[in-house]
Amino acid sequence: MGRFVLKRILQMIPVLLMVAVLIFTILYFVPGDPAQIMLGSTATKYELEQMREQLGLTRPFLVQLGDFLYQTFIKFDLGKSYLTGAPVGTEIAARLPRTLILGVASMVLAFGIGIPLGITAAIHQNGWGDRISMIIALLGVSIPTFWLALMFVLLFALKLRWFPSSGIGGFKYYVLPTVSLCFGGLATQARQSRSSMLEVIRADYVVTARAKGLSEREVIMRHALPNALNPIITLAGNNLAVIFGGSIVIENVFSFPGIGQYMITAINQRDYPIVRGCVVMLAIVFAVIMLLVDIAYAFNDPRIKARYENSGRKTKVKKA
Amino acid sequence: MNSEKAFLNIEDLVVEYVSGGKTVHAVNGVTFDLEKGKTLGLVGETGAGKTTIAKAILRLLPEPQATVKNGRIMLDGDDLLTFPETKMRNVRGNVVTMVFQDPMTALNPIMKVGDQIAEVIKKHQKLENKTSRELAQEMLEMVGIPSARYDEYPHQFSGGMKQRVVIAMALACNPQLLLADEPTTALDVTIQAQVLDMMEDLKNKYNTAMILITHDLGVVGRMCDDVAVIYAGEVLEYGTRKEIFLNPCHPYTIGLFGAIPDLSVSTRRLANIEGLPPDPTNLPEGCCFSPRCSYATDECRKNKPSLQKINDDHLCRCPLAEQIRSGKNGGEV
Amino acid sequence: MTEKKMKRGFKESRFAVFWNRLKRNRNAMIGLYVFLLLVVLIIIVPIVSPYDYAKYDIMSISQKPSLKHPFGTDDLGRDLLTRCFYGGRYSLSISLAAVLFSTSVGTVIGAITGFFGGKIDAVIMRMLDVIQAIPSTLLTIIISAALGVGIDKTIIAISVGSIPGTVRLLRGSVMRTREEQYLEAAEAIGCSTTRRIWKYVVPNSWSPLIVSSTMGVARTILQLAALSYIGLGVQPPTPEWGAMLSGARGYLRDYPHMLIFPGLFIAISVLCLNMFGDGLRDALDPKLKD
Repeated sequence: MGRFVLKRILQMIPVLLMVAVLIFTILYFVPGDPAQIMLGSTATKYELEQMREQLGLTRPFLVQLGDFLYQTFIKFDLGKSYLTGAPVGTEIAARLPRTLILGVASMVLAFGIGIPLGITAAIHQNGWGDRISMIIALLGVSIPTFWLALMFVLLFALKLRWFPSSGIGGFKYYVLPTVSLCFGGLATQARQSRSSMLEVIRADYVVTARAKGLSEREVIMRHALPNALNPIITLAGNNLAVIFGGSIVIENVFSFPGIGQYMITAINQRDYPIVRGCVVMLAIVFAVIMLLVDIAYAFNDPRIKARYENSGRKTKVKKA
Repeated sequence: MNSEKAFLNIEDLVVEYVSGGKTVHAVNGVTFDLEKGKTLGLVGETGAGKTTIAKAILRLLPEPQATVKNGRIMLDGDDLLTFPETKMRNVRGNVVTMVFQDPMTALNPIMKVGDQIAEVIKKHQKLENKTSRELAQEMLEMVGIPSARYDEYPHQFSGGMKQRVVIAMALACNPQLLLADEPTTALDVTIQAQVLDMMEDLKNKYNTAMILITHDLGVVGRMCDDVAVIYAGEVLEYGTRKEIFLNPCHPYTIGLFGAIPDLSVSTRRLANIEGLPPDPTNLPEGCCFSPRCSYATDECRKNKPSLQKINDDHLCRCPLAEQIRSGKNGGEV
Repeated sequence: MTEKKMKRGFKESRFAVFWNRLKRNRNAMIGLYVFLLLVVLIIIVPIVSPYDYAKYDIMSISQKPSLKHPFGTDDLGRDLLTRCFYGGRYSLSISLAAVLFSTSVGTVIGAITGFFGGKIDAVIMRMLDVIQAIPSTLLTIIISAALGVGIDKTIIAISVGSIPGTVRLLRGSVMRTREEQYLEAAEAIGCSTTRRIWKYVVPNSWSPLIVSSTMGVARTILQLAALSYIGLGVQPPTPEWGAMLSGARGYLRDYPHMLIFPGLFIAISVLCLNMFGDGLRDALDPKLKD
């Protein structure tokens, strides 16, 4: 297992480097002059040129890229904001925990409720519970997350006044953003878990398990569920990306001072060091979570583990 | 055969599926019986309802789509169809076991093979983990797999070895009836012979009754005492192996065998017959084989023939059986 | 063998079988018909409406829903009903265009990597890993920010994120189908490689592709709306649904109708497409059903 984790971490590094290269390249070609942004419209031509020189913007693309990678990954320095001059790393460090709480809480809710809901629905396929939960799930994947958030604000913050509509503070400030962010992920997860489970429930080895004389409960818990978990975990990875992406928009709705809000503001102000820093940071967080998902996956499936461990007698992986 | 007090006695079994609003008539009044230590071969094309019969015996048909509409499945004097689910669980894996067609998919891919065998032992013999592990290791050795491989997973096994594991699972509790659904179809020819030998040895050792579902006439010739030819969910011809092989009476059986089969031929696939089996959602009115039968008369197309006695060891569902039989030696089929 | 032969035999009527299965799925049919109705209304309503979608009317600013204006009016006095239907033209056509774009690009790349395998495949798959290491909403935001404002640029921005999915899907199908025997036969009679891909492999991969594209349009409508809402996609005063919501965000407390109706339009159209997509999937892959 240790070997698998190590291998997976080593694989992660080049991907993250490439992400940084990609982001830098995309933003490099964005129109707009940082020097102009920093000095404002009153700056003279000479001042602008001097500023560009100072920022290193006159160097060739590859040199700038190399410098960015060196600063980011070796010196862990994400640079300074063009506008305020504040170090991006510190600013992100202040906001990241909020975004993480929001994202992780939504994730836990989405998986913790969505997966059991989907599995129960599959076991009682076509029953009342199944139909009702699937209708709700269908609505859940069809309603725009940010619009649902707006409707929650309308109802729970403006009309009922149970929760604050924006800003940050104690627990109360997290409730509406978390609930609205997790809803879509929860619905998606429930739907996907249901179909994964339905597929497994018809598998030959489940019939074999029944033919052994096991009770229905034993069949589900010991044979169907562990096998359904694999596709469920895979799809959970995709869902994570959706939840993380959604958090950017949700933060915007609630004026929630997390990384997403910070980044969107920076995009509108063309403050690229911030944008680069945020994206790289979010990509790292996302990669780490995906790594955990992969480890969970391998832990559950000996075939995947075998691919990395070479400890078995035969490592040839056959399609099941 | 034909004894009322046989160990297994299936009478007038009717199974229907409902699929997409249509009723599939999968099994339509099948009757046969089987004594201890004997093997009955169920022969027929894909989709004839053989597997459904086996699954009906174990009551493993998918619910709620499939329903047993009629019939009795008497095992040792009790009708399995009347058993409550909890009692049925003691039958499954213990008294009646099944070897499935495709060993590649019949094993749980993320459970150790040994544990999969131990599971069934533990369930029915109420043993400690350690004892059931030892017994499972014994079973592995018995089917020719080193017990050291107990902790490996199915993906580390070849197809033939997986099928051995499935067989070990089926035999682990010394069942009285073994249902083998094309146990060798998915295997290489060389492995097939090994697996069959092994099954036969084990069967003789425990005096197990066996129903062997197969396409392969070679396997039937080698393993079976009795043969039932299944077509569109009906028994068209039923008798001892010798009678069916040497003296086939039903045009379908004769067609299947292509020519008069030779008991010494080791493997022979069923011959092709013109046309396709009838649509099970829309069976023909008279004899189910009449659309493909070159002997069929208007009478055949209108009225369903009944199983007629040819002799004590032989039943045939064809009114023209006698004529066909007498004309067979001279004329072509 | 016999089973395979039978499958071939059924191929001619496969579409009929599929359509029959789909027709029996009530949800899928409701989804399809409501969506078609919506499309028809989106075309007709702005034409027959007595109001212009863009014309200000200072006399009727921010009116609540009434008989005269069933959905009310916005902060510039424009009839919201007309704007909602008119906005559908933008939302739906941009989403459709984005899905067409990503599906065709993804199909070409996927078919190539799946068919040739080897180095090309390895390089492209690593590139996809990189793209997929960024949550697609984030990627869309960055690309949209980089490309700037404009419908064509928005289309590209929202389609990039879904290209990797299509590539993987098609690559998988292609790898599975290319093992099949008829390809060997096609090679034996001297078909060129490109011909083999387009004539044999791609048509055999269409069914998962259709399902994913239908669902893709639904997903893209949501993405487009989100992007416009944060100010990066379609810009007001263009009445795209997300942009309408973005423009009205300050009126949530006082005039919630400005935010309710455009959102409902998004939800209904996405819901219909999802219902239809579910039905398509079940009809194409009946093993998941009954």
